[in-house]
Amino acid sequence: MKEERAGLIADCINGNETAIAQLIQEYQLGVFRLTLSILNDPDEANEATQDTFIAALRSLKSYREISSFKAWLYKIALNISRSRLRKRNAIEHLQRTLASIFEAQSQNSPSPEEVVIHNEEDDAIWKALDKLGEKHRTPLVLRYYHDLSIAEIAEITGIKEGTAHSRLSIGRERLRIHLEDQRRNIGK
Amino acid sequence: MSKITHQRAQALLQIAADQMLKPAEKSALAAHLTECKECSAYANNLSTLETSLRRIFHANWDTQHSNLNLQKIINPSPTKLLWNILFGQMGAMGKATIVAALLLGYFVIANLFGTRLPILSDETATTLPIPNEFAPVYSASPTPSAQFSLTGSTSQACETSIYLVQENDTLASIALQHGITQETILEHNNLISSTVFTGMELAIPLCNNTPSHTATLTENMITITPINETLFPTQPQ
Repeated sequence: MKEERAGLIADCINGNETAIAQLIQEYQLGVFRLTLSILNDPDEANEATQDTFIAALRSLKSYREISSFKAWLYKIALNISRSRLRKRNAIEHLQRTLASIFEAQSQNSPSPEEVVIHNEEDDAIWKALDKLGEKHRTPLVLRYYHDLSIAEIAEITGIKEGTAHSRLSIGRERLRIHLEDQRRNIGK
Repeated sequence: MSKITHQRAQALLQIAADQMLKPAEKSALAAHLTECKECSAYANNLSTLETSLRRIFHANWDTQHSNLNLQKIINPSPTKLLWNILFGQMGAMGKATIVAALLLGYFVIANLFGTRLPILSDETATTLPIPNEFAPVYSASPTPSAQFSLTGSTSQACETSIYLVQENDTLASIALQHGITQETILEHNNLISSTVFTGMELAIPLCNNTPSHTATLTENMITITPINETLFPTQPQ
């Protein structure tokens, strides 16, 4: 299996389009789900996925089999997604500032997640996740959506395993407290 | 079996959530949970949260599908490739630094050469070298002795002659006599008042006069005639 993968990667480096198509086909969904779970925007996730494969194919020669190919590819995808997220946050911050200056009340249409989430508690978790910040949200997404182990999360995000666990614990604890408060408020 | 605190039990529950619990910790935690309602509730909440997170994530994102253009990935446009190489994984601060560095470089180069760069220059026309065979011939000059330069000059660089003020001379008459303005004389002699008196020595600029005058000369009064060629060749009789 490992030899097959090495052969496929070698073919991709040599510019074999069939091999490239096969590699993309194999990892496309995983990379897209990862970018989508970071960016939460299908169009932007699609662009980030495309950029991930362009960047990966360009630097395929630098890939060493010390780490798994999936982890290496996800690392690129995560970096690209984070870069886009920072850019978007900067733009949104600017828009919020402008909106507050002109006191414009934005009438946003419901986002896809708002349509999907009907449950009040799930809605509360989603909002709490949004407030968590990318630093603590990404490990949660990698753990509970991509089912990655602590070691894999640490490798992809470029942090130590202890730090990965610490960020997950903080994220879970904040969400738990938020949910408890929510329940208490409903109980009143 | 050693007893553990609530705080330790909850920390162990967090470790268990990441599947990093050691066997000894596992038994200590199990023993604590059978006795402690508070920590059991904590464990339940944590477990519910984990289930909710999985459900929410999958509900939101599983229905979405990617739509990749394979050709764009295999043969990306040169612009896209260059952009990815330069800025692919760079943050906004990195990009801002590069832009600042480019701007700084631009001004350093501009100062190094001591000139304004072409994009800012409005002097291109006057600094262009004139071929020798197109030696300028002036059709008019304000004074017989005046010499004019196409490149223009400043009051500091301009040659001057000394004029001794005669009886009945006024600044206006001196200016008129030399074909220059009163302001030019005042400027070259550092005078504030236009009053002149007999015997006073005035520096009269020989090269050019006022900037507006120079412009007029350059544009309207100078005729450039190539050697062996006239602008209006005489018609054969």
